[in-house]
Amino acid sequence: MGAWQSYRLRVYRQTWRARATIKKRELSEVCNLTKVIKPNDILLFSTIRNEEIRLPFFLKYYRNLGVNHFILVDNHSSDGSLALLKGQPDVSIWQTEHSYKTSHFGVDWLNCLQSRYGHGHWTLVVDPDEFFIYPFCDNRPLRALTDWLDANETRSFGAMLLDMYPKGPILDQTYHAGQDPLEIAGWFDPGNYTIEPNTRFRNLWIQGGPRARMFFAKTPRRAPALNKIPLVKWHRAYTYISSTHMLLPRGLNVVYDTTGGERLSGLLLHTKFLNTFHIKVLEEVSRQTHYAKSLEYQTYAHALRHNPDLWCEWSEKFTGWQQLETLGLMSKGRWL
Amino acid sequence: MVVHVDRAVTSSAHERFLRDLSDLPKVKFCARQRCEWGTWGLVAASQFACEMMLANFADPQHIYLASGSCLPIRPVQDLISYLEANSATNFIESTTVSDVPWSIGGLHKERFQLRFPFAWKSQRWLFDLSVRLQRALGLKRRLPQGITPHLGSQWWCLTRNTVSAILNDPKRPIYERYFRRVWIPDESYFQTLVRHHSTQIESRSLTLAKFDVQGKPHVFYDDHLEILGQSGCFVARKLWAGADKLYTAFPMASDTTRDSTGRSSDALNHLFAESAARGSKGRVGLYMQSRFPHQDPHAPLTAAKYTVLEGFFDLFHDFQAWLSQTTDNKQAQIHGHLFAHEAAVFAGQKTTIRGGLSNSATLRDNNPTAFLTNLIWNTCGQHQCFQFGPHDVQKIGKILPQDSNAQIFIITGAWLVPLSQSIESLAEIHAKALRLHAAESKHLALLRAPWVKAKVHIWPLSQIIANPKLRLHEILKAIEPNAKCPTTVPEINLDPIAFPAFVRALENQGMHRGLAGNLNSVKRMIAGPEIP
Repeated sequence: MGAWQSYRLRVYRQTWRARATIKKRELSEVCNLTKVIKPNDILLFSTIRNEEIRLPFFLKYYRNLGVNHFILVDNHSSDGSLALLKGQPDVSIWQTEHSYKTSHFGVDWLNCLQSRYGHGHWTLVVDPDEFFIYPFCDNRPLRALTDWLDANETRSFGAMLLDMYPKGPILDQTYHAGQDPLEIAGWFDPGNYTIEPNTRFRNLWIQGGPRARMFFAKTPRRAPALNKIPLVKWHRAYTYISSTHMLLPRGLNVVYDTTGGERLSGLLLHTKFLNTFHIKVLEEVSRQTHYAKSLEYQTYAHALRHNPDLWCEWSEKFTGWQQLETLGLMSKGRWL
Repeated sequence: MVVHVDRAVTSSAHERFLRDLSDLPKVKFCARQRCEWGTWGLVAASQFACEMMLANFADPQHIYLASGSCLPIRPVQDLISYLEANSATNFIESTTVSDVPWSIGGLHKERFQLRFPFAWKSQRWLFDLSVRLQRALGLKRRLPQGITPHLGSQWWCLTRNTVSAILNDPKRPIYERYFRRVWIPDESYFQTLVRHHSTQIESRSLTLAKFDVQGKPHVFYDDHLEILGQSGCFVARKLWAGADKLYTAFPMASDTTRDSTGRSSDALNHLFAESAARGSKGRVGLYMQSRFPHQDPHAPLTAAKYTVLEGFFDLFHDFQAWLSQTTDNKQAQIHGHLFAHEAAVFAGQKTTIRGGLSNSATLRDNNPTAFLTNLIWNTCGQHQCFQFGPHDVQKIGKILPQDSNAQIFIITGAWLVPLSQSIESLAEIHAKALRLHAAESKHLALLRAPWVKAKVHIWPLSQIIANPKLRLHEILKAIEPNAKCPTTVPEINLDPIAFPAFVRALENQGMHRGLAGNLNSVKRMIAGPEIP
């Protein structure tokens, strides 16, 4: 790496951090319970908006996995999300009415909170529709994973986004609060992902899955990125850029092996495609706040008019982490 | 029992620890040392503990060195009975340097030849510098007289006599001075000196402790309960602090009939080997979020062998149907032109195939290499066979020759056959022929390059017409190694008189000569014996 490029990335990182500091003003504290956080706690950061229906299962899932504290930014929910969260003993909430788009889709807000409360902790950054899964997760809690990463001097952990979808048209089955979304959206595409290395930030750019197959077959470069690095032993000098797809310093993005071996990795089961998707899409299109000027969401809105079925003959039904490991979507690496 | 507490432990935590254990009269605490990984402190701590043991306890038979992350798997009483039955045996892994396969940080014999005043973990920069400096200056230490360096696991169980002989050796200061500057002395001090003081040695550790290739100890979790129970080992390390099931299940009930010869179970060995292979070699042909190898000159690009056929569709009538019938469709999948401009033609005209791979041309052409590697990975166990030719999108043509799993059969000039039946004007045909010929020449140049790793068979059109059965048998053998010679071959789409005339006409228009080989032999058209 040339010294000049290294310097430029440093400046770039500091710009992101400065922006996060400025964006701190947009956040107002609703419920700050961060005093109860112990030095070794695992923290979860998320931005939410009108997720009342998803939150009960979301909290249950991550508590069960071993998350000790939730730090959430509520972006002007109009449903009962805030009321639901306020009573929880392990949830700290900040609220903002500012634009999701100008804060880089929540990245600035979370960078700011992470540098303040996440320093020295293992932090997990996920959306309310993403469920983190890793090898042995049925027997070993998140702490076992972070202990192993610590012992192996690994600071970041990759987990690709795996789009889950129901069998049959998306809008046909109704999701109820508290229900495991995988009961409905239990299917995935096992083997149609493409990878390109990004030399500037050293991450892998992964695309594919049902969205590329159904919505972006004509414009594959526009298909959403699926590479994610949600679990990081946070340091206040770190910063996410572009959702949790990449970080700076860029060494954190190298969560893969280039010599032929496999590194330990997990997956984020992405349960976006429930009947609630319809409402989200309409909202996002009208707000025009998502990536690429909402082009992605316009594509969805167009597709949803026909109540599409993402299921195909070769879709696989999710049965457990072993299946995903065997298919090669994630890997045990050296963990045994 | 003598406990050593690292000096790095805070005094408040240490005091609490002493208080908690104060009701145990048999537990003593020895002088504290700082025990950094791979440094002398670890040996010094065991020496302190042993001295205290010998001074405070009446005549112990054996001394067992264990760590805080060790857990007895079998009851301590079983261990005691076993040691009583082997009262004079020292259990310590102790092998000569040349017999040990592990070398961390690229150091092997040099562990005993250089000086290591710096810690590998916390002073890596100084450590590396000092090693390099000593190598450059050619510095080598002389070993103390009468010892041969031995290595082994730091968890041993020695007899009282051996321990006291090591501790009371008049030359102990000389040995100590030497071992203080050896790298990882905890794996060599006792292991070397035990050879000096005893001959009754079983060179194995009673503690099950495994390390991965990076020298990190393996950690056991709740899901290893069964495998640990079956292992027959007395003590295992390391256990994850949160593995509650293991801590409640072990030590298990007494069973003196068990094999204690220390052969760790096959299941455990298999587990370790599998994990090591996953971490170092991975699954060949798999590209995913945590395995993305840069082109490795030795490894194939894809997960399994596959066959690429070029020109066969043009030359033979209904070739795909024939090939599908001739091969076992459980073992082989026969596709059409996977890289056709309009869409990938999958077997059975499917729009998606295994893995959810779409036939969309834009998706495929966005990353043709990924399309190919995905196809082969998804269909592992079923041989893939597809058509390719100068009509197709050519990007993959650069990749195929680099893959040692590719078996490419190409009939040069076969694209002339459909052209010869075209009703277009000769000028139009000529223009098309020029284009196809250019594409084919480029492709052939790639296939003939010196770095090609694929298995390439290039046959001129004339050669295959002369003996189609023999050539098709070769293809069948590439798909199924035990394939028999085909009883029927598909009909050849070619007029023996009109076709040579057509090629001559094209050549007279200015086309390159000899596109389809020597067409005089085409007139024979009868399968005769192959002339080598």
